[in-house]
Amino acid sequence: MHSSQKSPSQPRYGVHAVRDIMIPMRDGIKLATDIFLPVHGDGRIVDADEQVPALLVRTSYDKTAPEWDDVIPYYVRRGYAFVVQDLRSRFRSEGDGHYYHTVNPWEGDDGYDTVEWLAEQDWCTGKIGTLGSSHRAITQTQLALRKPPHLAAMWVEAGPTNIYRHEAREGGAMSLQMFGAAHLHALDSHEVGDDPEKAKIIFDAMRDMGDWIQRFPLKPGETALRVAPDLEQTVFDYYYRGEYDEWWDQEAANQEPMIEAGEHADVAVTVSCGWYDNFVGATANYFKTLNPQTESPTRLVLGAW
Amino acid sequence: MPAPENDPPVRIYVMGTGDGTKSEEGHLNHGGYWRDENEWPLERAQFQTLYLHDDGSLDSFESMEDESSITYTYDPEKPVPTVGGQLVGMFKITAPEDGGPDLDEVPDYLDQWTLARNNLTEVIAAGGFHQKEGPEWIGAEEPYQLLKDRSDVLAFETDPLQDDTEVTGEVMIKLWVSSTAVDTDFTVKLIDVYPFSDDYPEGYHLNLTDTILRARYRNSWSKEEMMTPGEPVEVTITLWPTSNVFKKGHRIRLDVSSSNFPRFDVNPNTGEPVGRHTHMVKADNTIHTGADHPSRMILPVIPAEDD
Repeated sequence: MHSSQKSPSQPRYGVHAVRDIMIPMRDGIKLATDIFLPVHGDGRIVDADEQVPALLVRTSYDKTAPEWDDVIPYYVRRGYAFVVQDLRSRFRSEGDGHYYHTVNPWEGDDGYDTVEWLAEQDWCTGKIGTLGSSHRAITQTQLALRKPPHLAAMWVEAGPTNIYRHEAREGGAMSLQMFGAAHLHALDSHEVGDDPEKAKIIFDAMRDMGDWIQRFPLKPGETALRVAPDLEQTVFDYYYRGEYDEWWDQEAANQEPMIEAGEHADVAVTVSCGWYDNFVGATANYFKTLNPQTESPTRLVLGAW
Repeated sequence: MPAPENDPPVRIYVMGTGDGTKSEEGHLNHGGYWRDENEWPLERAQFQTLYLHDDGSLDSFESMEDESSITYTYDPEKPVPTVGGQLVGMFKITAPEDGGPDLDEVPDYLDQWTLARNNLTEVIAAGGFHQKEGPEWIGAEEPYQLLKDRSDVLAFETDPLQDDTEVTGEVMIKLWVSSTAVDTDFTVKLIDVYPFSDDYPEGYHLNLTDTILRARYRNSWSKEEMMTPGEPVEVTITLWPTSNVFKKGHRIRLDVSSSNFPRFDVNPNTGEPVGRHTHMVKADNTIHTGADHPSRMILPVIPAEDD
């Protein structure tokens, strides 16, 4: 270790969970958010007299998922607030029911509003970091293009920045993984809701995914995703829009032009990916494009996973 | 921001350098190590061009013949099965007989994701695998062959390497292709070929990076352009980056084919609107290898540190 590096922070707090905070967005929709705050051994929770920075994950995969069970205490015990939020129209968040897999035009604004709301809390230093992989990486990039004033750092793991090139139509062909992925997103979707018959249609298709994937060309209405029409529509946008058209060119689907144009927040950014992930090219390009632009440090980690 | 010298901005895992034995868990010991770098892509990379030849060889010399080529038949009814690769993976809910939930079990709203994620089985596995068909891969049929032995896969490989050769960065493929179809696909896959060993009697053909090109988009993603059957065109395919030391005695191999299913949808070769085809036809696809149409691979080779 270099002498210039600070020694790692030491665990000295407990974890105080505040669940299902409904954070208001600019249009009045409220997003369900769990906030985990550092707490002292005597029960004193951090507050205006002892402010902490916050780390934010914006997820489409259930804020209560066990993937955060080890991550949350790691950071909170070291003096960070940890925040996990369900995206609009996902799980316990409000919304109008619409949800288009990874192409949601409102994510940048929702991310901005969440960062700025967190910065105003009395326990917060006003410094917000973001993290997360895959779809949770996309939501970071989308908010970074809005340049929220209190965004301080990002760790973007294995995310696409151009849905056509990196995720859905690599080389102009259809990445059929997206068909399977859309079924995962249909679970607990607002569109399916608490209708057990619709839920069973998705579950049955997910049991037979190995067969379903061999049935293309399918048409809209023929897939189990018909019970979640926005997701089915998105899959067929991926499938039918072979040419890169105006749909692919919307900011929600392609952040590369804006990153290239210098629209990305100038904050500390680490981008990382594995060589065997199809987002490794996106990750390397993210670094290559952002690093010369910003005053803040940029880091790239590419590993064997 | 330029990083201070003692805090390099890039850290990569250079794959390879392992002893190639099989671990107790049945995995190849491919090896590798972490290395700090000052930039990406690596400025010291030296671009080396390897030419594809009609005898399946791959070397630094352009063909002596003006015209040569290899033709294979791509049948979209029998696509090349996906055997790993750079992908997110696709999953199914595990069947009851394999320990998954009962068929009628559908949890309440907000508990569905939890049940599913606790019972997922991969339908397409991501990562590096011996490039051979097997019952675990969708579409693979007996006799399970090495992918390079399929009639619709062209494998181009170097002689055994005289020295360790590190490739780090984006690999570019320039193919001269023609087809009997107005539209078809071309796939490319870079492979580290291990020599025969006690642990792997047929060697180990480790995929590193691979991708696809749908021919109608060869000139533009935003404007399709059909091919003229029989007319050679040059297409450029850039692979996602990788970092690998091809060890002395290994071979560098490039596989060219026209399908990789179910990672990618199959091209029906008809030129109909994508996703809306009414039928599928076989295509005879040709890779040109002569000096007039030199298909080639351009590798970013990293000089050894003592050079």
